[in-house]
Amino acid sequence: MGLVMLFACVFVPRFVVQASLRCEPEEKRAAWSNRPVAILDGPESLPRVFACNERAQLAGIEPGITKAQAAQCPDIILRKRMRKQEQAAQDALLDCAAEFSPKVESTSQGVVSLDIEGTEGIFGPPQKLIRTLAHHAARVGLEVNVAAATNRDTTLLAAKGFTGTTVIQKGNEADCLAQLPIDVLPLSQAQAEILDAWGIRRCRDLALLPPVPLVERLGQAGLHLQRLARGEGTGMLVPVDPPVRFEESLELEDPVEDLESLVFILNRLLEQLAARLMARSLATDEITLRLQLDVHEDRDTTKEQRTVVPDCWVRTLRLPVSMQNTKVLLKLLHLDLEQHRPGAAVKSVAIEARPARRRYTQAALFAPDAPEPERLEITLARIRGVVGEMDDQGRGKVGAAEVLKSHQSDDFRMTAFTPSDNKRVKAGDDTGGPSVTMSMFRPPLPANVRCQTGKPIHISFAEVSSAIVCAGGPWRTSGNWWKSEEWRREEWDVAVQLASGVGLYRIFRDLRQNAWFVEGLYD
Amino acid sequence: MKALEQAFKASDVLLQGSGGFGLIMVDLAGISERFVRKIPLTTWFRFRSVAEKLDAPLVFIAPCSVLGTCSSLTLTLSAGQIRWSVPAAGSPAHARLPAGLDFQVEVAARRSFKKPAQPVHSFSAQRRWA
Repeated sequence: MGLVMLFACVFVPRFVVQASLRCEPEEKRAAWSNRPVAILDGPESLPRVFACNERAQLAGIEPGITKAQAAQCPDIILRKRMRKQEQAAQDALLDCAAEFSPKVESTSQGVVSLDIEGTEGIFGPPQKLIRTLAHHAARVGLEVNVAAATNRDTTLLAAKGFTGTTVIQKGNEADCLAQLPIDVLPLSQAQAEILDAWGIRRCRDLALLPPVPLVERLGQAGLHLQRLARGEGTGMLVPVDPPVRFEESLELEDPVEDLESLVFILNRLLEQLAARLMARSLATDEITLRLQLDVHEDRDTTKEQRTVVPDCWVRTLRLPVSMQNTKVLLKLLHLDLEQHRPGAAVKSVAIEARPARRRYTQAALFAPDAPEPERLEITLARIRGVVGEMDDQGRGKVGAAEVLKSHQSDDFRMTAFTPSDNKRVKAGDDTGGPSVTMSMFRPPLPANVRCQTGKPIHISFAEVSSAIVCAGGPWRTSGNWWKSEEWRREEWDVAVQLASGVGLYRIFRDLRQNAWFVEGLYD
Repeated sequence: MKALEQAFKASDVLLQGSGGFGLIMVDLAGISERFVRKIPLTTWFRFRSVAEKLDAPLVFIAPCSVLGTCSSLTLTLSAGQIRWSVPAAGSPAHARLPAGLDFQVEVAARRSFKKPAQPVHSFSAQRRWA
């Protein structure tokens, strides 16, 4: 065969339309596949059609006509052009290509070229590689044409001209490109008019023209076009770094109010993000959701207090482990939104995933079972939904407590709960027996304490009212005197006779308020 | 009652949720006995049916014995006496510290045994510094 494959090119026909529709739910896309779609761009006062699909073209819609003219087409779907969606689609295309080669070029909008030399051992012959590439592009919602050939320019022309996947053997470039219309070449308006006037319609016609008269009439640019038409392009691949930002967004036609519909949209966006992350062998450890809200300003000036609803609702989920599973991420977002509802209809949605390395776990043979991290995270989110996220002091209610380096009693914060085998310590290992622990009352219970010669002799709090049998103390502590949160206290350990036996409590007197509190019970 | 409801709902989520825990413990000790006694028996039966399918034991710590026949083992824990440190003569008042607690454990009921009579065990817990 003598086949030397070097380059492949991925081309997205009607890129702007595809980019606009790729994040729509599958059912909606299927329903719209047989309807004319036009993308509008330009000033709000006079938007014009910027791009349209094949159906719309057949119905007489063409770029440049006004929205009012386009709206006359029955059953047409008119969408506003979203550059962020186009950028996301281009990034998704680059992610797909980066899965197959480290040398990827973002040739132009909707066009990506890649160097596939030496990849046969990994991905199989070029035919197989470009078929897989097209399949992966379909996973991120893009229908593409892919071509492979020995030079970069030929792959680009073939991808533009041939539908599906095309492989051009070495030496067959001119024959393969011969039937393609002249439009696939990068012609300027003037060049297109001249060639049209000469009756040049196909690449073969241009390839057969004598070079010298062609240069005399069209200059060196004409010769360059002829070389391209003959499959003799010499364009070099300029590799780019694959995108590091994983963001998908969707502008909604009608604002969405109910959570179920929003979750339906989030699912589609997360699927796209997961496909992109998967293409790069990555996962995510942080998800940021941005919702643009449809807020109508209350113009009733007679009201003294207005409810201010922000027009952008941002929620960030920090995950203790990196994840890739769409269902888990969707469930976590759903549970979070149930607790923190936006408060207004949503008109656009954007999700950004912070890329992280995938989690590789090798369970130890004798290690005890641990909860599955994804399911555990959902469980914790559900518990958060039941008990609430924060306590009165602004501390998390769910997670693992971490004692802070402070002299203040009961100073801790909640961190993400991650079961780790390394930290398992058997109770009493360090002392050789059970140790006394303390159940804290949060917040501390107010108490009435009677003292004699500065020593507490009687206490009553909650349902307890008893004489103090024995007391140890006082231990005076203070801190944060340089801040507004200054604290000064006097601690006592007191033994109280209860009906069920003797109870040992930690009590303290707040010296700033001169009030007594019960902090905890030793047990 | 709200705290009690939250505790049960959270326990339920934990039991139905992820699995893989070695022990699930629900601490109701801080809740007043009169509230704990109001918990309907059906709640405990429901927990029992869920717990029977789990590998991990489910432990409730309550201020009084309320589970009845729903538990496979009931332990009654009572504080015996408090051991205080003995400071040297002339030491200030705050030199006296509680050094440990003595507990008594009694097996109040065990489903697998017909005879309920069980011996009382004692153990001591001490402060980490003691």
